[in-house]
Amino acid sequence: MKNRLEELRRARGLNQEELARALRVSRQTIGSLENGRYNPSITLAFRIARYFGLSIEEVFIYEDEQD
Amino acid sequence: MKTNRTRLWYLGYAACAVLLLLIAFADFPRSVDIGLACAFGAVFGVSYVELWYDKQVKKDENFEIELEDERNVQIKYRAGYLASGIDMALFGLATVVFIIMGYALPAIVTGVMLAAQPVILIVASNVIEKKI
Repeated sequence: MKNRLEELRRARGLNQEELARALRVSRQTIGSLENGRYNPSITLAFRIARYFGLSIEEVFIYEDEQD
Repeated sequence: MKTNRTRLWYLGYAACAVLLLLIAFADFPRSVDIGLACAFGAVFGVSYVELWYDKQVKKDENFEIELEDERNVQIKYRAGYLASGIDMALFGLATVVFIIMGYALPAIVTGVMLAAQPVILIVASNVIEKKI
């Protein structure tokens, strides 16, 4: 699953550490999310979307494996 | 200021001191002393870990976040799953080695432990299944 996390974070002028603190996750989790190595739980996805004032679909791009 | 929770674990240390005094000076049978020693170990261990946890939370604001971080939790689960698989392979290897060397009792013990793994897995799955 792709996401716009890095783009949104940079637009807010935040570094990974600051975003991690705001979302109460580790900095490594933010790094993994941005690299697409880790897909968040639905709860974290909601928290991220709400933090940026967007819907989940605007942050995370779900692509069917067959696409 | 110490929280009630922290005070409780300091009470654990006090209970440990009482248990030690009982083991040392009370004239209980050996089996009771062993039981008290086990209780001492358990209470001391839990109290120490809980107090250490409280200190870490106060010392490092990221400690609790790191501990509850969902990716870290997933890493822990996956590592546990992997470790369990490796344990089973090692038990299997140990059982074969014991059989080859003619050690019947150790072979039975490791063999039973190996055979119990799938049963434990099924029971644990059923328990967890009811919770989620």
